[in-house]
Amino acid sequence: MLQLMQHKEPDKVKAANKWNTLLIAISQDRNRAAFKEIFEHFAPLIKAYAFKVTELSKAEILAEELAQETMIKVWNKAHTFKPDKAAAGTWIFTIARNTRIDLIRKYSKQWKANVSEFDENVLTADDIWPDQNDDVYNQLEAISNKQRILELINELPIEQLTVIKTIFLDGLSHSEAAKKLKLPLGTVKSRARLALQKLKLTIDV
Amino acid sequence: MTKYHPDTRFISDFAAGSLPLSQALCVSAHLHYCDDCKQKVEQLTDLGSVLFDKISPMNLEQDFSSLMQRIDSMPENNAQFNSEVITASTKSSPLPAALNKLTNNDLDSLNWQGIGKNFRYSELNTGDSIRETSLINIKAGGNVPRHLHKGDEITVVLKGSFSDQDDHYLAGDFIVRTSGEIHTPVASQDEDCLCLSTLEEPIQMTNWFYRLLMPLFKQSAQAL
Repeated sequence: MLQLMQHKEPDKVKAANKWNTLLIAISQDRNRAAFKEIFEHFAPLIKAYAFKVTELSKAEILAEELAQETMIKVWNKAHTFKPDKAAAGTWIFTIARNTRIDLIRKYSKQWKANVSEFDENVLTADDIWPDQNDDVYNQLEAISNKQRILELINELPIEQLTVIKTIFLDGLSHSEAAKKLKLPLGTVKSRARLALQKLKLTIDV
Repeated sequence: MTKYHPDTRFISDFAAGSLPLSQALCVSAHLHYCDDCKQKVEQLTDLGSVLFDKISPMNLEQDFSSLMQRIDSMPENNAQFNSEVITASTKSSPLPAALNKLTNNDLDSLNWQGIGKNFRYSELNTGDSIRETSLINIKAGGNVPRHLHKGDEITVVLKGSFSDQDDHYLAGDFIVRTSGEIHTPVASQDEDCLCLSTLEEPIQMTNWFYRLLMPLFKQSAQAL
C-alpha cells in the first residue's frame, strides 16, 4: 500500500487529498500501485454510472467499455490534472461524464448516419465540456463546496433527491426527466431549484 | 458585461452532460465570455461528482491487470502522455474553442447563404439531428427579416451587438426565444454582428431559409 498521505490533516481534507495524491503519483512517476487504488474505487462506480442510461439497449457493453475507456484516459491524462484547481474526484467524474456522452453518440445510429462524411471536424464531448476549467475555481473552494453538499444532501426530501439524481446521473435533461418521472416539467424545475437552494448552490438571481 | 445568462435549468443540464449537443455548444460559447456561469458549472459538477460517489458500485468483468495489459499494448501510450492536451477555451482566442474546430478556424471559407444584402448564415454540422445550428452574420446596421419563431431558439452573440424591440445584446449574451415570438433584430451601426443560433426543428421539413421567408410571405399576403 502507498504511504503518500500526510496524517496531520483533518479527515475531510485528507479524504479529498487521497485521490489528489494518487493522481499526482500517476502523473509524475507512472505509479501503477496508485493507479490500482484509483481503479478499484472508481471503475465499479463508472460501470454503475453507465447502467444509469436506461433507454440504451447496449448498457451491458457500454458499461464495461465506459469503465475501461475512462480509466485509460485517467492514466493518459493524469499530467493535465491541475491539483490546485479542482478536486480529483470531480476531475475523474468529468472524464467519465464526457466519455459516456461520446459512447452514447457512438452507439446511436442517428449520429453515425448524420456525420460520417465530416469526420475531421466532428465535435467530441471534450470540445464542449472541458475537463479542466482554467481560472475561476480553486481546490479549496471545490473541497469546501463538496463537503457542504455531502453534509446537506441527506437532508433533502426524497422527491427532490430523485429529481437531481435523475438529471445528474441518468443522462436526462429536465424535460426528459419529467417524462421519465411522469411529472410536469414545471414540477421537475421547481424541485431541482429547491434542491440546489438547500445545497446552497448558486441559483438564478 | 454579459447580461443574459443560461438559467439554472440549462446550467444544470450542461453540468450533468445531458443537454443536447447543439444547445450545449451554445452554453459553452456563453461560458467563453462569462466567468460567473463557469463557476456555477464547476459547483454543479461537484454536485454531480458527490452523487456519482454515492452510486452502488458494480463489479467489473475485467480486472486491473487486463486493463494494464491493454494500456501497455497501446503504441500511442507514451506519445499521448507527453503531448499537452488542452481543450478548454482560452481568453486569447476570440471565438470559443468548439466553434474554432467546427469552422476550421476560417469563417470566410464556410458555405454562407445570404438573404438580402445584410443577412447571411452558415449551417454547422454539430451531429445533432433534431436541431439546426448556424452561424449568423448581420451587417452593421442591417436587420434580420422579421420572423416568427416556430420552435425554441437559442442565440449567443459572439461578436458585435444587436438590438430588438426588447433590449440591446452584447458579446456573450445568451438569448432564448420561445415558439410564437416575433422579433426583428438589428445589428449595431458600427460593427457586423456574429451570432451562434440553434433552432429546435420539430417535424417540419422546412429549413432555416424557408422558415425565415414564410412569415414574410404571410405578411405580404395579409398586406401587413
